[in-house]
Amino acid sequence: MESRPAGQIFDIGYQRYDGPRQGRNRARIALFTAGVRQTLGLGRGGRAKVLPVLLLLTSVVPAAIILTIAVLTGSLLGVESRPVELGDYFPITALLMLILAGIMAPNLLIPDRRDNVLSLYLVRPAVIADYLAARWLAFFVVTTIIVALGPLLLLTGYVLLSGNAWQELQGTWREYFGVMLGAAAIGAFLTAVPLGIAAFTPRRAYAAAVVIGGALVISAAIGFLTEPIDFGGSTTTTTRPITEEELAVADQFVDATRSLPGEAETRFTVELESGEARQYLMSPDEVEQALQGGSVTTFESTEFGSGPEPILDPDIGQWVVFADPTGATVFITDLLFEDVQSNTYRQLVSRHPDYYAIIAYAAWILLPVFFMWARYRRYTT
Amino acid sequence: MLTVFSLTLRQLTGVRRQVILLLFAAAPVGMAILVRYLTDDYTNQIIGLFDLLLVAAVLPLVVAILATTALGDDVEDRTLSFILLRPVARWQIVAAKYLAVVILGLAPLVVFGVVMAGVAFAQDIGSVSNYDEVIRPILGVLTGLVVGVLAYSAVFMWLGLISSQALGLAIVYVVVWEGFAAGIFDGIRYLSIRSYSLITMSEVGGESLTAIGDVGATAIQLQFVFGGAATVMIVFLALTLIQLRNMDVP
Amino acid sequence: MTTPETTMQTANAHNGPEPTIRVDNVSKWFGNVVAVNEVSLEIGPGITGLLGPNGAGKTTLLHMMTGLSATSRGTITVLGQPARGDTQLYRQIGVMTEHQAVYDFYTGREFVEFSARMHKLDDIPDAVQKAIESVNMTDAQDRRLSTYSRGMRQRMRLAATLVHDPPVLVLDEPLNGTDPRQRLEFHDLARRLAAEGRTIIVSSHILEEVETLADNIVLMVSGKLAASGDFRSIRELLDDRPYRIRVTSTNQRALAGGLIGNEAVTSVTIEDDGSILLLTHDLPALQIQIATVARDTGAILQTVEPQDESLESVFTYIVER
Repeated sequence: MESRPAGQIFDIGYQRYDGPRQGRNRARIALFTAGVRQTLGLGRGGRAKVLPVLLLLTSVVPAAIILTIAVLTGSLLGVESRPVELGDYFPITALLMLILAGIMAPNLLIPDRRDNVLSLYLVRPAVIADYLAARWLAFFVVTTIIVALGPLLLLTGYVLLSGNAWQELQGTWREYFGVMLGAAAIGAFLTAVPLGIAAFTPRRAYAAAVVIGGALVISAAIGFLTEPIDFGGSTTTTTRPITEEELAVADQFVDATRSLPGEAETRFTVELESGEARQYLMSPDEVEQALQGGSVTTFESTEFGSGPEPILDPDIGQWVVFADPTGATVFITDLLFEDVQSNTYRQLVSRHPDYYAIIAYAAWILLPVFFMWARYRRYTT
Repeated sequence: MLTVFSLTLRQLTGVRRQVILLLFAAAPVGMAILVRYLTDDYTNQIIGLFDLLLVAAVLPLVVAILATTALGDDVEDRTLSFILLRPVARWQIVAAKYLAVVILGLAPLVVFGVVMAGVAFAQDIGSVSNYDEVIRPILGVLTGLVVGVLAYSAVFMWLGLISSQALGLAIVYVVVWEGFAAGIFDGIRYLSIRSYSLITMSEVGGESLTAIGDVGATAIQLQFVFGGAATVMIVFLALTLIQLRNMDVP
Repeated sequence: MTTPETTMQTANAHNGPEPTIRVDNVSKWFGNVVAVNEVSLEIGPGITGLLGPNGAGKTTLLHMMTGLSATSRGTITVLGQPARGDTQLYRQIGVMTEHQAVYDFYTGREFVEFSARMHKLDDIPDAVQKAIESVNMTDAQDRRLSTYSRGMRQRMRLAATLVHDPPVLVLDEPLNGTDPRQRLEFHDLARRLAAEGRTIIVSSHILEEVETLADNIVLMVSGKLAASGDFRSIRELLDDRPYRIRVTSTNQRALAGGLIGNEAVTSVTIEDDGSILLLTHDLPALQIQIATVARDTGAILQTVEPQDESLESVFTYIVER
């Protein structure tokens, strides 16, 4: 074909971009949105959405169960008789949430390093600090919202079930803020620690293992050292009157809430007049609360773990507890909700002035952030 | 089969992984030593640690870190074809990988578990040879660890083959099923590897370890525990083999 | 697109009497994505080049041939046996996958030895040494794989593939990361192996890599078998086929009239939907002249779309890049 020219370039429609270019803030927003989408698995397959959904369920399901039980037993008569206080709700889900966050958060940092795509971010008008801040905030915002949903559901349930919702709402609107603040405190923790560790591990699995393994082992160890646990199984039999109403309240304490590592276990049996016996796991203080008042039935408690002394002297224990990763946020929510420190653990913390807990919490957030930043400092364009 | 076995040993003994494993495995012993120094009633306290720390947390973690990556890393790194495109029966590959995981998992757990039992039960160096008070409890702890490692390894190796988030899922399973669920519903103890391990410890370990297995309302027979653990092991090894045969290798 | 497929599919890549690999009406889909679509072919001794752009389904087809993946439909046999199921078949097949992955804690020699042990060879040191020599890696054999360059790693993976001296070799993108000299060496090695009567399949997305090497070519485009046979005959078949172009304008009848008179155009048809279907053998000339014709006939061109261009464009892309 002689007519064909030796070389020819066809215009296939590529164009230069001549429009306005947006700056660093646009890049930050883009990084943030990408982080949120990545965390929630948006735009990806069903498998990517499993973990965020599990996190959501972890937050919401206990609240749903508590409310269902409250409705079924019909015991919820006012604010006074809430089966689970808001401040106590956060610790119920704390460990599982930390585990899920430990698996999810490393996805935001590790694949980018492994696939060597960090430089692709940095050729845009964004610096490494923008990248880190965007990833951090993305995970923080998502987890805060998810963490808040459960207690918000619980609080709303209490308000609606209280008989006079409008009046109730006026009394509790402050608590909504408390819930959001508490959720933000937990969200920041769930973000800082896993991301701080993910900055140093080459595989996502290692990051998850270190976060979760560390949390499980450390909190079990500290719980063991500071709680007065004795596996000898001493039995104390007390005969005390208990009202049917209080029994219903006791019924709502789901056993699961008591079997977190580091929590004292008191197994006790309540014997009704009918001869029927029910078993509960509760902390001694909760038993005390449930038993105030006077009525007809008897109660026998078999206490696993009421040894006279904790292994660590409380003078040392009051410092050691701050090292517990599952406890760090609980201290903050305790402050927010002025919770009765029923748990030995929290009693140890309450030996200090309030700001000690705040300092300890700040260290849990700021140290990982610092190490993460230090690790990424070398990535500059 | 020996080739796959030694390859797996090498794959699983990277420095970083071993450091993490040893730190986890050493934690209960460190605690046990601390307890022995701090309290007089240390034997009972350390018995509590066997469940709370060793069997409930460290054992599944150590096994999960090894087992989920035994085949999982080959899938992720796309090196699985190097062992599958060879004239080696699939069951031999599963067996070799499993054996490597079990041995590497048992090594640190057994060493630290025995030391821990020694710290708990030996009053002094002279009493080490006392059968009922020292040797038998140590045997109990050993058997319990073996039962736990055998069962968990099979489950987690399968998980590593079917999911890229296997380690995370493994830990969620340990906490939710073995921790929460088995704590609430007594019946789940029949289907809990943790309780298999604990009951074995207490049954084999004799008098001094009785408290460990006696957490639920009903007593479970040792035969049932061995049967249960063996069933878990066989079922999940079979599932792994089936998956390896039917999967599309990346 | 139906005509070229059916005519060319019958032209087997295989010339000899007994095909080594027989692919019979094979499809593979992942969810809604069809990766390989009703492919049938036979491959015999000699070197066969499997060509196609990235994402054409080459690797998926090779994975099914080597038993790594199951077929969604259809059957594949290698040396008369089903490709998947019996691991003993791998005594006869050497496979090099496309991934660069290796066990990087091994040295080059340990890696080849590992492969030899998996094959339970009798004289392992001898087989390993021969394989490493054949890819010219003797000097670097005791270095760790993690220190190798891409090309070195590819060659060591090739050595591990050859170590058991298999009669069938399936090599997925073996020339990735190699430099021109290594490419020449690979050509020599592959020809030598083929001369010994082996069946060798080499996939590539770059024609020039296999053009001088392969006796036969199998061309895949978006999961379908687009052409197979000798390279030159495929090209001739393509050159003989007219290009089909669909045109719409503001004045179809006038434009069609004008185009009939143009030398570059072979035929003009007005379709039911009113668009014009042109056939031409001289695409560059038509591209220039269609504008002139439109201006002369007072029609304003709206669309000029090449039809069923995939095979041509892909082949042209591969040939002329």
